[in-house]
Amino acid sequence: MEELNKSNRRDFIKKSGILLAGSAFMASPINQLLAANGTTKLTILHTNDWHSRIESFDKTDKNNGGMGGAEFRAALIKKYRAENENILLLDAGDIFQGTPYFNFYGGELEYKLMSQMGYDCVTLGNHDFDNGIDGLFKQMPHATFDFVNCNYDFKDTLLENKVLPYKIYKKGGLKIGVTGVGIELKGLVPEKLYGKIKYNDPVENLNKVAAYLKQEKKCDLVICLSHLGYNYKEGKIGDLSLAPQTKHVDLIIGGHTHTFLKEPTLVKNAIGKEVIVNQVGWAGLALGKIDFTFNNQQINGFIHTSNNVDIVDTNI
Amino acid sequence: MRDELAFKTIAPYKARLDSSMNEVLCYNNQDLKKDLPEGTLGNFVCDELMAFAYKQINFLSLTNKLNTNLGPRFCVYNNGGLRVGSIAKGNITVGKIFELAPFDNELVVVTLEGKYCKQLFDLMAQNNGAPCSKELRFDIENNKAVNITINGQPFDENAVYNILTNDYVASGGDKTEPMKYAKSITSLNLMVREALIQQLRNRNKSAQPINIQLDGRIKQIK
Repeated sequence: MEELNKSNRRDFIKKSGILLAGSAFMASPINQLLAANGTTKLTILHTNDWHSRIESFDKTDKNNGGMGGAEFRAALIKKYRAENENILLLDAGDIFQGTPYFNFYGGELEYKLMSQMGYDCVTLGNHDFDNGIDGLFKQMPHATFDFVNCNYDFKDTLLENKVLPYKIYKKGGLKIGVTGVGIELKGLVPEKLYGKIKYNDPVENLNKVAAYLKQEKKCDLVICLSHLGYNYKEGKIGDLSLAPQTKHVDLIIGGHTHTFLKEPTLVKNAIGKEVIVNQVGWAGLALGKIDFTFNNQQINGFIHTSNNVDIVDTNI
Repeated sequence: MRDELAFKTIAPYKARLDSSMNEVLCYNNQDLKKDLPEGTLGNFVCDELMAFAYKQINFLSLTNKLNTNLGPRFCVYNNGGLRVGSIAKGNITVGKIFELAPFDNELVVVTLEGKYCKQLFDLMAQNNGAPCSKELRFDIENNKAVNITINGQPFDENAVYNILTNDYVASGGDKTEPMKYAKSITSLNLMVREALIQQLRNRNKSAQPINIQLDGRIKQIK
């Protein structure tokens, strides 16, 4: 598990990178871009692996003292909503497990808070099955957001038709297709907890769904919420090996490996286009923010800012 | 700045949680420490789990939920599974037990042939010991387990033993690979954490304070 210490993360806010996809725009001032005719701005806010960290870390915690906390994240999200018209709020899984809140309430409070914050869509991580399929199903009425995954077969389980292969959102005239991929559960989650869920190849299934979203459904942006993990040495599929095998995915929001990326990783896909891969650590310590600009429904560029969620730092 | 709606949503959950976490289970008369080849914290966990398992197995067999004789002969645990370094002298709260055992690991009985038990003990010896209950004793000599006794009787490599542990260790996790050759693994349908909480609560009711000693159950010789 990767953790950034406090000073590093603070430092990063100051330096938070400005990345524009497409070199033609590198020299253009951002506000000029935003003001240009026919442009639409879309803000993607995202978290991953918040692991039931309802409260901020205790002030005495060596690494994360005073950091995180759902009530501070909620405030930050509200601030962004006041400033931005078109927001999609997403999570890449492992919402459950990690504090006694989960042991006591089974994820009820996590889902209630995320619903209040206005999350649009999440995917499932391995720990979301820690109370079994039943335990997850039981909490779903507390969630007003959608669940997506395209490589688990939920046939003959309670989650059939509850977790969708994709979902399309319309924001400011844009169509955004969101799908998700999950990690192989065998060996990671006790079999009795994931029951009849079958794991299928994430590459093949993602490509099928992404092509459908881009070509048939004419989505302007295709996002994959991934709980595969960022990158592995031993040939196991992770976001960095997934991205080059895709053709129609624009953004991969990752999780599982608790990776704090200072800025998104740009990976060339199978047809030489750039895929943005991002992940913001864990425990709700940070909120990822990617601001896209679209020009005539085409992605024009994006700016990334990673934001600490913090008791003291409120002016970020 | 905090969000008031989120704060208000959390408040009743937090209040209930805090009151549960602050429940005092029993008094602990000394600092318990994680250590190898033997530590008071490991002794505490394993001895309490053994005491609890006997009651639980009796209960389950009386209610016909468990009909085999699964009385464990000894308990082994993974040192990495002790998630705090120490528990200070004083009251032990539910919250402390959650810190000690945050994972939802179940209490299980593993039935293992003697030859694999020996491999397990040797592996424990190689790793400078591991938490175990007072019934199991051995010395570590040249990274091997020697002078092994179970409840005062010499260990018999041809016998079959019931071992109490958590389901992670039972699956061969944390350097316990010989567990993979188990004849059977039976869950007591209870989490380790819950077992410890119930056991300590009962202790308190019967006014038995915790009194854990280092007794040389595993030690290096030469």
